[in-house]
Amino acid sequence: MQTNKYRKILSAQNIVKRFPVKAGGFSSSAMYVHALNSVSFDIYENSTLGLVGESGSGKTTTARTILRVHEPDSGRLFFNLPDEGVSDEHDFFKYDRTRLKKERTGMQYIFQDPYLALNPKMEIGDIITEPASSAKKMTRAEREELAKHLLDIVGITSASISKFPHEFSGGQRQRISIARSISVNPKLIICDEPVSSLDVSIQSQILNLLIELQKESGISYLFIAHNLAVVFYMSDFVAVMYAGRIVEYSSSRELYDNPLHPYTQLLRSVVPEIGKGKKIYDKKAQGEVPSLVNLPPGCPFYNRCVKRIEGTCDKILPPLVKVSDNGGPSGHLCACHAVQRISL
Amino acid sequence: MREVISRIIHSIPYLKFKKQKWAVLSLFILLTMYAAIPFEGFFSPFAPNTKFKTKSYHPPHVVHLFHENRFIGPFVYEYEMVNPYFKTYQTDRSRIHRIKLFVKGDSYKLFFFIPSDIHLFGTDDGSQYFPLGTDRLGRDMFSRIIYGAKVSLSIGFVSIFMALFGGIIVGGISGYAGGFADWIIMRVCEVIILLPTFYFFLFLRSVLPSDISPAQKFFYITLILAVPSWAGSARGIRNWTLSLKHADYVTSARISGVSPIVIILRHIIPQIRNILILSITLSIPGVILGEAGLSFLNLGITEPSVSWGMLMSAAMDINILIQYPWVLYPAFVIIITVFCFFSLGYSLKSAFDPKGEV
Repeated sequence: MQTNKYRKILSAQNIVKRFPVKAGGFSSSAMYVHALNSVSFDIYENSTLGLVGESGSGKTTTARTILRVHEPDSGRLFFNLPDEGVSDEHDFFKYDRTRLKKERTGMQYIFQDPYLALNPKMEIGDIITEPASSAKKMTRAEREELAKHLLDIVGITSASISKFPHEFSGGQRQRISIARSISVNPKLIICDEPVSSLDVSIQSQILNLLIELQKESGISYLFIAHNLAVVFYMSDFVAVMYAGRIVEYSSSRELYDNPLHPYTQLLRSVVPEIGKGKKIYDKKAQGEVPSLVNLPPGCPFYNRCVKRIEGTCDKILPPLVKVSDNGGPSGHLCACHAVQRISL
Repeated sequence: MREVISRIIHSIPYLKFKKQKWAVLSLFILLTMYAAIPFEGFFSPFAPNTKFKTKSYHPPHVVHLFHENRFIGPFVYEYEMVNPYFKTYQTDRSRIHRIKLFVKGDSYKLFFFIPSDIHLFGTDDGSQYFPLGTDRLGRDMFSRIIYGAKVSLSIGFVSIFMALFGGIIVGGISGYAGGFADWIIMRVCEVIILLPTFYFFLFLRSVLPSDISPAQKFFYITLILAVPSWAGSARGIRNWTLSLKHADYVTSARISGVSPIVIILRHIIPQIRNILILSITLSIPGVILGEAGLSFLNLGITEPSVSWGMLMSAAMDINILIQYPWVLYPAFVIIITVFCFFSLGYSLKSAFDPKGEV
């Protein structure tokens, strides 16, 4: 892999997002759920970044914060900018309403549940052209033409234009969601577990459709999933999240062959592989995810970790640093004291 | 073919509704009543304010078919006033007036703009036929009830639609915006809901000037009647907006840069369309009764306009009611209308809302 081949389409820097918790009664003490704690990653043009982690690790919050559905508490985001001459005023998080509306059309979002993502009272044609017609004024004929074209791309008969969502299956609905998201020629599509609510046979159709679209139009994906097999299949790069932090970041191949963080190893060990027979888990997952309201001072994975170093891991938060040059333009990044000790 | 299937699937609530015979009958009655409004002059034998001085408190005519054991078609005998003080009448069996269809009479405007003087029924010799008797000034009750439908039936619709319009705007904004605006709006609505409705009407009515034209009066009364239902519908719509605003398709529209007003109108209101139809149907009778109550107390619609509540105010005196019981007919019409709306509303409710969410 050559480093200069990759051009950043999105660069997230130290995103922090906290949600206030009502303490109840007349208590005025502010409590927060620390959903994202200094999350940084890059997404490259015409490539896919997979985001994995268990439920509650902040994958969806990351996606929604990037889109500013949730406003971040701090951090910077650069999206769809030239390589040179980028300054703070190009921070996506600082755009005002009009600028945001304009720039955000470059990012689209595909939801997890295709049954909830489409307005049940709207016709398919209106649903899939909504982003385009809200970006610029379109006549009825133009909208119809666009809708037919989009349906054609995702493999749904264009006669379906005036049907309602309930007339389609889950897989078809997800295709409609995809058609909607590509209606404005986005640079980046954020896929929030797009296949996890679908049948296995349908999953591969949807994944292949996404891959085909990428080959044809060079879209980048931020692909969120908790199924590691799906992520390895889809992604060029993978970021592993745990308790609102990225704990490991590398190219997909490197992470598959050589997972370093104990949490990634745990995830990796439960991916079923054909031909290996029944697997006996040697390291069972023990302990629980720490409370996101009262974060521990050290490594959040400490209580579940098999490689923990007492006195270090429970006191000092491991930073996300490069531990090897393999694995893409930024190398193999890992946030683990044990791994960093060995590699240094 | 696909479209046909889609139609059928969408009409499932209606099919369910069709099974309820009372509801279908009610719908039929109501539709007939509303459809008759443009033909009010045609269906009523007289203009609402045509007075017959010698026919004060004339009892309802009995229609006969046989005169001296001979069939001569529908006719009425002449009723002659024998006591001008107590308004007692005696049947004069020698004078008969035949009832004919499509007779000439008072001029009126069909559909409110086509001049005409043909009435559905009447006597052929220019004498009077009072199917439901007359009031103190000798005005035909039947004609007045028909003319009263215009105000009494339309006030419900107009007022509920005003309330709903306000409710959608205020409730939608309140639910969608949330925060402090939501808090303030909901407290105001709660205060309005808490006030006893009828006393609130009386209070609002007392604030209004009394020397206003009938059209203005109609408008003000409609507005007054809309206030309490406005607060109720704003609250309901706010709750629905709140529960729907985090739906994925709403988030999706927000990401696409669709403006909040468009989101409320395109993505939230259509989801609650059935609930809105239901709440309209169930709120109209309240408004009709409110108007009747105000007019009964001479605080609503007044002469020369006609409304059912105003007609009922003639029955306020127990002596009059005992001697001339036909002045109470408007009350039955109100009862039938209200019953029809409720029967329709509850059937719609079971069809649209099987989980009982309203």
